[in-house]
Amino acid sequence: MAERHSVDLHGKISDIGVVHFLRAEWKNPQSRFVLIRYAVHEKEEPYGLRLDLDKRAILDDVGDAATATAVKARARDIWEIVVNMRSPRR
Amino acid sequence: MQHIVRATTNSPCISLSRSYGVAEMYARDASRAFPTAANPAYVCEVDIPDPPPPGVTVLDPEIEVAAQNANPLISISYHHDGDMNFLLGVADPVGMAAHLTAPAKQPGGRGGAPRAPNLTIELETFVRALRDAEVLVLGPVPAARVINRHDVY
Repeated sequence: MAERHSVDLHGKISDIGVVHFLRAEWKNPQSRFVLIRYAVHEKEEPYGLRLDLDKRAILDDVGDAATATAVKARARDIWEIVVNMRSPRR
Repeated sequence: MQHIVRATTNSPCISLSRSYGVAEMYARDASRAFPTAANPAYVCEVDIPDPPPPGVTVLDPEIEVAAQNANPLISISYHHDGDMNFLLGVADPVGMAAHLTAPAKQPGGRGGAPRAPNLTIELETFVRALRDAEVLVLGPVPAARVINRHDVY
């Protein structure tokens, strides 16, 4: 089974209400997607949010429309953290 | 174009791929949980006849974009002004970002400021759709048209 890689998002991405970003995960180092793990009310959700690295976009919704929009607005900041960690000499 | 390039999620279209390899990559890498043998992702084979069933429209993104940019003299269109490796960066904007951002070469003596090549959403649409062997479907595909389902993990 492929090893799971991750980068910590604690303290790097600000919370959106009760939504707290935990880490970004991937298995395939060449994957064009990573999974953003997050918690709601301090409890980690079983399904992550897909970040499309090519499109610099979060594909999934969380909570109401305002929360979903705010979460998606974090995509570029998370993208920077992930891409710099995976290919720092970019 | 927004659907293919920017991940607009309120698009009325569904993306399908003519390539099993592309579909498998999306199933393996783009699921909301990592697929396992006990909880796999799926690649579904869909057989859409010609003509398609009532209420179903199949669009080729290349044809749609080209049809709206058919005059190279008046349209910014999908032409770029980078070098021959520029398209590698469009196809893989993370892994080959250096090709995407390499300064566009300009004739000597003009004193132009260095800049990245022109990249339009039309060109991104072309390249991404070609890369993913992508077609778009409007309308519900009948369940009976799903002829195979493959586990991926």
